[in-house]
Amino acid sequence: MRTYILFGLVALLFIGTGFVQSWNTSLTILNMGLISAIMALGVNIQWGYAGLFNIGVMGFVALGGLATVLVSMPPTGEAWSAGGVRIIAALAMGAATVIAAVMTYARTSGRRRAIAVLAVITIGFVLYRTLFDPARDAIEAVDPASTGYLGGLGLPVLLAWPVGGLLAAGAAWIVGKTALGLRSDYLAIATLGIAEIIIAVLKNEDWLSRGVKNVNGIPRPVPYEIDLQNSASFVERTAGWGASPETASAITVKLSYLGLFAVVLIALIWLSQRALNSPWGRMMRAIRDNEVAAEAMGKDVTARHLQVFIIGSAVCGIAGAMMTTLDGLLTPGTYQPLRFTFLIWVMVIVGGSGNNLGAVLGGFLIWWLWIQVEPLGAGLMGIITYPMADGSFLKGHLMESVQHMRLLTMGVILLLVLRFSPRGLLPEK
Amino acid sequence: MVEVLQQIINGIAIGGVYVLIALGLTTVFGILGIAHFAHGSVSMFGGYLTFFFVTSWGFPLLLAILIALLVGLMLGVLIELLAYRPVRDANHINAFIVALGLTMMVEGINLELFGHEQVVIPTDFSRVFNFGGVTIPELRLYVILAAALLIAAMTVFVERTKTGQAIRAVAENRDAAILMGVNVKTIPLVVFAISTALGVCAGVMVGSLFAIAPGIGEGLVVKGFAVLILGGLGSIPGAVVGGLVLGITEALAAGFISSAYKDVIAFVVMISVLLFRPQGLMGKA
Repeated sequence: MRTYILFGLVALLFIGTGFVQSWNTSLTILNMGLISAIMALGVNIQWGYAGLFNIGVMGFVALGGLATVLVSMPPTGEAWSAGGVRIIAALAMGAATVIAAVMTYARTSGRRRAIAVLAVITIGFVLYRTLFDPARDAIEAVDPASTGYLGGLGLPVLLAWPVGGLLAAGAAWIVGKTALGLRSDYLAIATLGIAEIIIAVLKNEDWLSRGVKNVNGIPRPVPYEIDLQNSASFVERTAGWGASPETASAITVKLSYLGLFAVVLIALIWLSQRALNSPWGRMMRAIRDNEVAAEAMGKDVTARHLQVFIIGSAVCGIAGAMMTTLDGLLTPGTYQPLRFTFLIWVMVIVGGSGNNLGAVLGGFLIWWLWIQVEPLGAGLMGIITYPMADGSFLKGHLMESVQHMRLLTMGVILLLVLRFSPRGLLPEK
Repeated sequence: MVEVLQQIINGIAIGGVYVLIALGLTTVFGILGIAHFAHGSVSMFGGYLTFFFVTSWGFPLLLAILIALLVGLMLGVLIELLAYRPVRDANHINAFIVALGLTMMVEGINLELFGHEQVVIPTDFSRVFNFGGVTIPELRLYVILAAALLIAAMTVFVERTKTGQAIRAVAENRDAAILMGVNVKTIPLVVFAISTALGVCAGVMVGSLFAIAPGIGEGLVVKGFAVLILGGLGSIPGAVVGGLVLGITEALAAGFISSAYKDVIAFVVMISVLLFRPQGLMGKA
């Protein structure tokens, strides 16, 4: 019951936005809200099901974004012929070095181990750089203003969503193998570390993702507004709505995205609910609530943690790919690991950790607030400062402070929810 | 060879900053089990404050640092009382979320008070010493000396004084410490005050060596945690060794491998340590 009421209230927020501001704005917020809800769902799978801290959400999201570029952008033929083969050879060399180092580590012992491993790494690194550097320079020299990178595979962009999930799952496997089974705090710091590494790679490896030059013009899964406006049948059909072709086309595009995202979200919620109520889900909660007892019952705690960590990260990766698809561009410079991770955690905590629907609710609600605090705050400050003289210092300062109010509001919401409903708006049953 | 030595010297200076940050984090973590993410931003606040006193009010540098330090001590007490004390007995996640929220808040306050311009604390130490080809700017030397002094003072405090003993007792076994008559209500206050004061010193050093800007604090605190894992959670010698190792590795990597990845080296080193020596370089298994 409570679930329906709260979801109804959030729906009212979006409908209200549609009437007061514009349906275009409302749909824009709703689309990002859907993506946030999926990210919150991913974090909830990790934290709510298994009690795992992941504060590197943005790293997995960024990998999803990279997947979009690698899958959907057309390949840069010139760059491939300039250095494509060489760069793949160099990467293979790098991978071989790592494997050789691991094997050396396993086969030797004592002081010889340290020396041997160090020697393997040094030789491998030098070889890697001699192969890699000229190849990279050749690729980055190909028309640097518009390409200068290898491009992608030119496949349909929707394919990028599962691929984003796979990439994130791969990264999660590495992190999990490293840090799971140690103290829980280690996982948190390791995830943050891997997020920083992923984002640094995206920012610096121009041949892969164009770095801070951004990749734009990523193909869309839905039609372009301008094509709709030029299509006679579309204009004819929408003429009855009483909206201009511009507005109608913008809203049609947003609704198409909305449909795609909603399908993914509903599928993920359905899967998560099924998983949570299956024997597997009960086992996960048993492990979360008492690791020692679960272990005594013969459950492999570390393996299950790894499993759930990979699943949750994959969901974040899918959301990341969807976000980049929606934006139509990849901007590695804008992924701020701590700030957005905080936002997603607020969604999970406010919504109710352990409850999938709660996380989704939190995703919609918090994203709506995050966007709307500024107009709401400006209105509020307008009322407060109304009696003050124009141009007074305090008035200017108060009006200016509106732009910093987002984080403050998040804090206040968090405090209120934790105070009055400590387990979130929709607590776990 | 001279070049390697030069990079090592540079690494020690920045390593000293990491040690100070990590010392603050490790005492808070070891005693209260809190991952105090706001530490970096609070440290930057101290740096900004010093900058403000020096440039706007024309205070001499040392006086400005002293005032910033006192403010830091009080700020630490306030943070403990207002932010972390209410969630002490709650679920672990609450303290964690409070820490993240506090980070955002302090970053916001920094932006609000000091703007988003990058600032450098002006100093008049411009001499450069030269030892057989290795150059050390005067400022860098002072930073290293000051860091060494603070680390020594911290060690003496924790090892030799009554309060230090109490802090170690609480870290080791909270219940036993209560039974022995240690006042566990005041210990966190002392710990946060000292930790924040150390952070302020680190902030001043960053501000005079490099620059303070929004976001620097967040980067610093993340590296501080990497240092903790490197050295071993909750260990003071671990923080010192970890910070210096990280600083030197970073400087060498920036000089000889790739300067673009300077800030990532910390995490690569951290992950290798997690793989091969999860208890940290100085930690007990």
